[in-house]
Amino acid sequence: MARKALSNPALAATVRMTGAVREQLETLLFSRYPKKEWATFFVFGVRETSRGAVITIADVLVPEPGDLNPDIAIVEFREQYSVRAAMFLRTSALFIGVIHSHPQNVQVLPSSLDDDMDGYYREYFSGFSSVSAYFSLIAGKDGRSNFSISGRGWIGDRSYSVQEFITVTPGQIKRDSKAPKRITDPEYRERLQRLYGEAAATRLLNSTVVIAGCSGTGSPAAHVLARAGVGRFILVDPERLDKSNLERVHGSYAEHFVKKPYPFKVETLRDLILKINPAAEVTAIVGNILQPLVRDYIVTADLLLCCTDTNHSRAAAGELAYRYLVPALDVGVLLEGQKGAVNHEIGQITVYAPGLPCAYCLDQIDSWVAAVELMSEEEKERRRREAQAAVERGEKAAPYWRDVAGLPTVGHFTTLAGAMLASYAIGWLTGTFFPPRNHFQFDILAQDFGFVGFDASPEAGCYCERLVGHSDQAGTYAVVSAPAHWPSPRVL
Amino acid sequence: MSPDIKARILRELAELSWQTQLLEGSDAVIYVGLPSSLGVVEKTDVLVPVPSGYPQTMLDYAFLPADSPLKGRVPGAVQENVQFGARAWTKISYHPHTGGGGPTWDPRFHGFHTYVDEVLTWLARH
Repeated sequence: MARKALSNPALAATVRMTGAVREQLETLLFSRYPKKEWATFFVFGVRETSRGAVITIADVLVPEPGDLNPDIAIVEFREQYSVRAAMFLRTSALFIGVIHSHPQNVQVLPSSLDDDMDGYYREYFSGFSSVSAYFSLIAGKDGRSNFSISGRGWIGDRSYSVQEFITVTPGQIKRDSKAPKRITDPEYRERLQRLYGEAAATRLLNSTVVIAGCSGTGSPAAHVLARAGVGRFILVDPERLDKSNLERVHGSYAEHFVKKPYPFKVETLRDLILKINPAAEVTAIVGNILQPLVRDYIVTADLLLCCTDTNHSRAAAGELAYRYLVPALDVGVLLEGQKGAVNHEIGQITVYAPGLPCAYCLDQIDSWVAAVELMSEEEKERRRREAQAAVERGEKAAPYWRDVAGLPTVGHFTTLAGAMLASYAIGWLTGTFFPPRNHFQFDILAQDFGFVGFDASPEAGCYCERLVGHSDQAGTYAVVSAPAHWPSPRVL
Repeated sequence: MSPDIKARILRELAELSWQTQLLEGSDAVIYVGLPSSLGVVEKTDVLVPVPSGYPQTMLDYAFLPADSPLKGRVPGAVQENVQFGARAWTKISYHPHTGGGGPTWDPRFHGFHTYVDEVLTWLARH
């Protein structure tokens, strides 16, 4: 069989996997350590963007007895195993890659034998799939059990070098980078380092956090994370500031309302972050997390903070967690009262992560409210007119239109909820602490803060259980899409 | 229509044995030759638009051919005529997922492959 030439890797790729997959891989790959290698095929999904590719490991095709040659120290795949992998490709939209170990203390760089193997499998698997995609990873350990990993891959004729590995578990989000940032300003981080250790401070510096929704809860969350030393931010919000925002949006000042048009929320939040930490990398996007361009950025992040308090964003956050292995913390706030008195100030925090239930399983989506959020103003107006006509005919208005009501939220409480979200983000990123429950509510006006929380499982057969790591290849099961009437997103 | 949504709709339509047509430019699906037991015509085409934000936004309404004798015979108010592709269609107020008798919309389970059942019920004698 002809072998494809291995061109020099050019574009950057990120590999994402769950903690369970990583544990399975490490157990398997180092089962013949320290002197002998071992290997396995893995199943992956992929999303290519203008800035690189993100691959998500969905599963491991564990070798059965006889699939690999056990009599030699290096890896030799037998035909039966390759055929089994190829047969998988015939019935799946996903792709097959190889991961193998190098012996202890041997660099995790491809050898000439690895070049031969990758050339062979790249060609072989391309015959079983309408799109050609192949990735090859090498893992190893030194004498002190320090783990290292490298990787490269090809999608069509484009070649990739893996720069980042992100592993997600409820409890810790690990990022193994080829070129991690090092702390150069330890005095700014002294308090945090003393409490959680230097590794935690370095971890925050090397974290990318998406803030979706840069208003009442998103802006204080970003504010706290900037002071905690998070190194990279991706800010997403479609709106400009409004005068009423001054009461609760961190980073907004009276000077922003002198001239129209008022600045975008992502602009003022970016300015706030950079005033605190000029070395932070901030990408400001005027857009929404349902939009493909915004998703291209999100899939490279460690963590998404969903601060929009909308049904469509919650559905999207859940989907990003299971399809793209991007974990999320979602926050919502609700003020309840009557006759001018506020009786309840309720906050809700939800963890979305691969293996945990999505927003639909948690019953967090009101289908009508979600539909209204996605309607154009013309559509809303048309439906209101149809509802009025129905009433005049003696019919019910509800099938056409139902108002979505709620009390306004205010700054003291949105700041509290946003700061709480940021604290759980710090805990999760550094592996130091985690929310008490995966889904909980509290009421600061109730006895014992009215805490109610639970850890649920995905509904049997739900996409969040079946499509973990399926990335773009689960497009036929997408549960959200951006409405056509939304303006295109812009990176400022 | 994004590639994801087109792929999703094509998957849903592939699950049906009824003949269907996806009008990409107009963002609509036509169920071709659905049976009706209302005693007016034996078969009819029914058009259902792909709403903005689908699949999180529920399918809603049904359109009959503008010259259909079923207008006024099927439940729901007759509304305006709309051109989809080369054909004129009449919009009928039919809302199975917003209080019209169908289940609460859930994009994990519902789509064009399930909406046809609502439409078939709509076209049948009650």
